[in-house]
Amino acid sequence: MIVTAMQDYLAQRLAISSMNKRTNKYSSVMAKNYQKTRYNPNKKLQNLIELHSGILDQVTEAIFIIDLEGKVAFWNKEAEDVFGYTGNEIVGKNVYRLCNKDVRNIARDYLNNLLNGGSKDVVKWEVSKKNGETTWAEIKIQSLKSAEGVSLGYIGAVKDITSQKRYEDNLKFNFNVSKKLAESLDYEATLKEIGNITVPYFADWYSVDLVDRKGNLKQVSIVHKDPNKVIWASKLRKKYPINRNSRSVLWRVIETGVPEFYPFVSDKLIKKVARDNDHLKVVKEIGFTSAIVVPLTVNGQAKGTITFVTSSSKRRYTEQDFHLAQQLTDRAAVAIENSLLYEEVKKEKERINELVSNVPGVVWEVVKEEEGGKFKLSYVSDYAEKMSGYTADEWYSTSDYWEKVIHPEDLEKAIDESTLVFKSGESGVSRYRWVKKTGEVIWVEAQSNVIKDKAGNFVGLRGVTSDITERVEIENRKDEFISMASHELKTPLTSLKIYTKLLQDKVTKGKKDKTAIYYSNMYKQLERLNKLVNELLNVSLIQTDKFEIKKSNFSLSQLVKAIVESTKPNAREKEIVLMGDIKKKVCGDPEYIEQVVNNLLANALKYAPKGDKIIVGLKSRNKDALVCVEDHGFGIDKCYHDKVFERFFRVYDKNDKTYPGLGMGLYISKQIIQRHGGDMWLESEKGKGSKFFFSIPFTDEK
Amino acid sequence: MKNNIKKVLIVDDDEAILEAIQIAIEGEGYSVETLTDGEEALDKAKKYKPNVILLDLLLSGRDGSEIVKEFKTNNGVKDIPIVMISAHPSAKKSALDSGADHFLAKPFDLDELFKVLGKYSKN
Repeated sequence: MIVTAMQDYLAQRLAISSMNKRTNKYSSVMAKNYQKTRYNPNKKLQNLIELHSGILDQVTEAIFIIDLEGKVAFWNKEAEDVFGYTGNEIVGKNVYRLCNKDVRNIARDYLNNLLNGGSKDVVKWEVSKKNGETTWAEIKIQSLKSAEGVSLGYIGAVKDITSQKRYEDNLKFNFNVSKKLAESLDYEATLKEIGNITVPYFADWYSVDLVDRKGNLKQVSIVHKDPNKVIWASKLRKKYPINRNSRSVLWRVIETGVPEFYPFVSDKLIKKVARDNDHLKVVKEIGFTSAIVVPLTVNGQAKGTITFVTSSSKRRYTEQDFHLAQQLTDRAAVAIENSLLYEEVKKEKERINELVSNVPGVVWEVVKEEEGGKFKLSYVSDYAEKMSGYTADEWYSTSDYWEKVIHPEDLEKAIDESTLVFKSGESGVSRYRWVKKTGEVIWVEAQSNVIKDKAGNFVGLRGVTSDITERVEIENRKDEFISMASHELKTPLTSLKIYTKLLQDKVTKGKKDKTAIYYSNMYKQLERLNKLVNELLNVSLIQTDKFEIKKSNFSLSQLVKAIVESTKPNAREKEIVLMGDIKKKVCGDPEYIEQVVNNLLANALKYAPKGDKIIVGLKSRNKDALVCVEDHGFGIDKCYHDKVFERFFRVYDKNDKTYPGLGMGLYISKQIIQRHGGDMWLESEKGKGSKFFFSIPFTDEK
Repeated sequence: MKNNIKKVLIVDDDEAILEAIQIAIEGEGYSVETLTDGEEALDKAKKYKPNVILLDLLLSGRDGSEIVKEFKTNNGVKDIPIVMISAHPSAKKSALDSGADHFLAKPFDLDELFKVLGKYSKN
């Protein structure tokens, strides 16, 4: 404001004085000031200057007056300080030389425009000082006119705003850098990009050096506005590599982790850094002005440096610049950390994808929707296409696509079983059919596990679905074979039993001699053979779901009592004790339940030690009847508790005695009980005997 | 006395079984006719008028349960008790559902067979 007021005042005074033509009086001043210049501006202008130069020298702003051609007519003391040129040096010279090349034409146009009554805005131009440094100036220019209104020249007030301009530009620069850093995760490319923003605005040279595996400092980026210089600098680095043994500033910064700042690079410093005379020559050629070296600290470790150097611009870095360089480098380091993390995640993802793609099945993930409670597909591996014919994209097309491939007859079962796994939180296996894109039907087996969130809530399922068509076909063929074989075995067994019985009756006629015992043993073995064949047949029937149960209401208590009574004579040296009672009737097939009780009793007798007391317990519970058969034999290890109910499973322990059997009894028993809506389980400790339990629901009848 | 001799018709496609059962129950005083072909069962029964029929469930020619249905809807033979015999122990339900009066799983005890025959041949 002061400057503007002063300018206005001057412009007025100059006009008045020129009008009064009182010029002679001050000619001595002018002569004193410009005696060394041969420049003689327009008389009127000269008069004005002579009249007011005394005042203008007192002003604390840099003031200059130029004629219509742009030649400097007056230059006050402050202007000498700002630009470095004395009045004698600059008066008579073209003012445009002070402007940077790219501003010259703009400045000319601006002044012409002013003459024609154009805007009097303040302009911000970059100007050159005598020492070659550039500086930002805020310039306010007004035209000077005589009282008659004739244009004489211009008067300008200059304010050095370098620091302010830099601050604004630094903000912009900072913003551009941040944007670049956020744009890409390829950090080497990003670091180069930053170089392109940095040069020439912030530095004449920009380089990024990273420590490689061999411990050498590798220049990953070097930027200068002249590509030839880049090539030259790269060659120089190859000739003078930097590693832990070189006395390099860069290496020191890496080792100490402390950034270094050289506002002015002196010859002394260069000498100290140079490797040899050749190197010294080259480094001097670069003509360092200012330099900043900042360590690039990634994950707490100095991995390299970023170097900012000014040379031809003669710019001297300030504390503010040093701070900015550090900020920038820190931000680049964070970006590198992020990109490394991203790379790691990407690699891990690729590794998992690779692993998943090798799984001979569809790996999938579904998430339970909050609304509607349906399972929504969130991941499916590429194998889905191989197995179903539908591409992964098709799978993702609708969230319930996983349901669409399921055979319509199996859909309800598949959904029920998935829901059960989801509710129980335990892993589960489900078998159903898929209809492929080609219409072909295949059997699949889905193994699924519950996905839990941090709070432990069940949020979805993930698992693998494999094509088990071949296995199912083999199993079917095997079950069919067992079914046929056992049927075929029964036909001769039937005749054999009849003839044996006939012979037994005819030959022995009630006698108890050896022949009678032989026939009796023969008959018992036939019974045993029949039992085995029956079990085989039952297993195949259960497998093929052809197992039929004829339910009726009966007294479980009476049935168990009768079985116990009839078994007692065969117990040999073991005792069977019945405990408890059940009043209510149960609903089931008494023949099969008898088979179950017989099986448990036979097992207990088989494994109980001599003289043991086998306890058969009966108990009423809320909704079902409970039967327990307890022995005090060697028991079953906990790890086998679920397995003993599996098909063809035999406990194998090299220290135990081995007992004959095919591993069908407990499997059939549990299947029978489950088909009655009951359950069968085991409590046992190795060496302490076993308790087998089963439950059967009571009849609804009252 | 001739009227007191009970007649049994056995239908089974396995001749060894037919022969064994025949020998066993003839020994108990029954009169026996055998058939391996289920198709002929109805005609045979109409002529022979057995007191009981022992019928195998799975005949090579025809399903035993179909034959049972045929008998049970045919005047003149529908009152003849049919004992279904099968090597499939779980066939009991379908056998009884089709209208058979009794089910015996192969291989059966002779004593049990005699008991069942005795029960159903009273009339």
